Amino acid sequence: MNLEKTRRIAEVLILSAVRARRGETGKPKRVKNVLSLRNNQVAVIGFPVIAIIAYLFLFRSELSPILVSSFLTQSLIFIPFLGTFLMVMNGLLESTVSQYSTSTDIINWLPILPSEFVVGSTISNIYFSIPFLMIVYGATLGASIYVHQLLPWVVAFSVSILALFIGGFLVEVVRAFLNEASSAVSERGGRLSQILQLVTTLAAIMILGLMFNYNVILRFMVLFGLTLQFVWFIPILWPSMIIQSLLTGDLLSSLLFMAGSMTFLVISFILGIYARKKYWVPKPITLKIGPSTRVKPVRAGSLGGGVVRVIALKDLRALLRRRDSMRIILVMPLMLFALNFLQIDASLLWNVEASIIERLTVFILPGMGLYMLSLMMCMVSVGQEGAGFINLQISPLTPRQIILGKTLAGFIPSGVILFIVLGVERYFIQSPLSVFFAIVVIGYVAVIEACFLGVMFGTMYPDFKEVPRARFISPIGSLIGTILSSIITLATLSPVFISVFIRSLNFLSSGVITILIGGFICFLAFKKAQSKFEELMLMN
Amino acid sequence: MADREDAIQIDNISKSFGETQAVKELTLNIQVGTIYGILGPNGSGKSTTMKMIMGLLKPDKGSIKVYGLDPKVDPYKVKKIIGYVPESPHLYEFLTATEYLDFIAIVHEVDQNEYQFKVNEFLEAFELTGHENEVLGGYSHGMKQKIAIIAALLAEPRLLVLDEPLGGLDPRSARIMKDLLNKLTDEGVTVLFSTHVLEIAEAVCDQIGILYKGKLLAEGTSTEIKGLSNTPEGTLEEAFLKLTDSSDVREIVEELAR
Repeated sequence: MNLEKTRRIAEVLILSAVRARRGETGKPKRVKNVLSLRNNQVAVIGFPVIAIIAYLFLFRSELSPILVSSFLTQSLIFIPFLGTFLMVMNGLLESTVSQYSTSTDIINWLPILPSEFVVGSTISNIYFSIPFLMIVYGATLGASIYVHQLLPWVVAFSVSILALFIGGFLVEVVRAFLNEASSAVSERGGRLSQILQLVTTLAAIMILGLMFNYNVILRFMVLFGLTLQFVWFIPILWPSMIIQSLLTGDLLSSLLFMAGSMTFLVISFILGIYARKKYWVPKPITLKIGPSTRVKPVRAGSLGGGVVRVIALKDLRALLRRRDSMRIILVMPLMLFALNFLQIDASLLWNVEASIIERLTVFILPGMGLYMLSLMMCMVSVGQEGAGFINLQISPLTPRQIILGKTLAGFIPSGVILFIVLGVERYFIQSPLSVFFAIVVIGYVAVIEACFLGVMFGTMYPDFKEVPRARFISPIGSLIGTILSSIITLATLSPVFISVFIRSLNFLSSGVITILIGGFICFLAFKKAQSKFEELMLMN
Repeated sequence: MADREDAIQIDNISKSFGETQAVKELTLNIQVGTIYGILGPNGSGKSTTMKMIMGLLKPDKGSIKVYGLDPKVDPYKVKKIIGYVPESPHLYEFLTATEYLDFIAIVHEVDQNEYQFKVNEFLEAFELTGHENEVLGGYSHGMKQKIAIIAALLAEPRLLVLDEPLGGLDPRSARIMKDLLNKLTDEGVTVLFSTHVLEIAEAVCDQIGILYKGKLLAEGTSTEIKGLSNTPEGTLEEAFLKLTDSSDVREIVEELAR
């Protein structure tokens, strides 16, 4: 194994992803050395800063050292496992990177050993975990200094590096087999493979979201420490067992788990090499989908008739079949849910003692999630055309037809989900008809407005690049779009909110006012999108 | 009368991208029912000219008329009568061939009964039957090219604009394509296509235009082009190299081989 070649592979993989994230084209900024890479700079500066902040915070808060020590113990045991887990998640969540740029196809014709690729790819994977690890390492270091337990921290830090490599090597095995399995399932499974893809993407996003939910993390960490001794036979947990044994003074077990972890590292490495060698030439994915529902050509009506429907259908198909678009769209609503789900008190649905308004609060979070879903679906709808945008440019289509098609594609899933949510409300809460009217207005006006605003921002800030990473909308566009749309929609819905909280308006008149404002906003967004789309249809 | 006879009238168009002038004062008339081949080295302005005809790029100056329509003023109507195959077949990778062709047919408002028959015929001719329900992302470059060609032919266009249409096609499909182009022009369809394969241009085209650095260097039948370059007995390749200032090829090869 040539170390210089390995370093270069890691550098190429890191650089291509970094430049894609920065959206650099033409002549990119030169990378002089490894320290000039942003994550490394952030780590060098951020790590000591976070450690100092954590120390000062604990020092000022005058928390009991026993309490801090107990929490630190759980954290140090958890850190190595977290490293492995992060690597696996990172590796599996790389779904926005185009298959082309992550494929070994790019380099498998070069004289590169599978071992060199496995190590290079693992290092690049570690690189992208640096910011998160920096926070964890820094905070625990500050706490360790506060309770004078620096040695366990040093051991935990060293072991977690080992755990990172174990995770990285395992990702290589999983990736190789997943690609192979995905090709085989796609070939035979057709629609089943799409469902599997959807479920795994949803699960991956939910797990990622839960990782940032402190309620869940705290509970999991305590449970992890308590149950670790009963699951000592799982190799992935051995690095954590080293720390636990050391902290309980069982040096022999600690050494045994160290030997076990080292052996597991070597085995993972060998497995990684084996998997890469075996599937060095990835099998092309041939997704066979049986005869599809045909949309019959009809003459275009005033709204474009069949043309609008066929554009919406095309977009919905792309959404279901593309892992990258699904992830970009769903990450916000699902993260929102995962971050807050412990705050939802679902029992309010059945609690007839509570007031109607209290019971309706159950729908706030799902409602926000639904709003984000509609907004994201429409914001990415223009950029997700990618290089295929030329198909729209060369076709006899008007911007009006395209915008309506894209808005319809964004509305269909949210509209259906909203219909189900309203059904749930009728079944459980059965609020008075005037209140239900207000809920229907809030729901549909928000969703429809999100769709029109989403298409408008998607048209203003599209990102058609697919290689090496698809984004579909520029980061600034996504940020501005999300913030402004949320503010605009809140303002649109304000008459209904006023009628709920101030009661100076009745539900019927406030609902009508909201519909009128919403309609006006949708019209303005449509007009703006139309004029921007006219520019996009040209290649100038 | 000239309006009726010319499918494309290009009058003194220029197009620049920043400092680079891609097309310089180009004037060109292409008659209805002819196969017109645009030849030229890389960066000579072939694709830019085609995109301006399609209405995808606006010329900085000059005018274009496609069957009397101005692509700058009415791109929608122009696109309705043109079938276009771009240089790289960028299709919707996540649609199956059938779904993609359905999309194109609906957009062009093709008659449903006629469409089904035509699609089956094309798929069979280009040996794609059996692959129609696979997503296009799994297709080879040649297969994608065939789908792009079928999409361009589906709507029975009056003008076919083909940017390197035969690249990636197997010999059988290339032959079908060449014969099809001849048949279509007999029916009054006009074909404008660019290629680097000079033998194909010689065999297929009624008229050839040689573009070089954005300018039209020569125009005529292949015999006329050879005459213009003072190589009447030579090949079109020799004439092309002479006209485009590339006759130093032999010296370059010798230099490289040293």
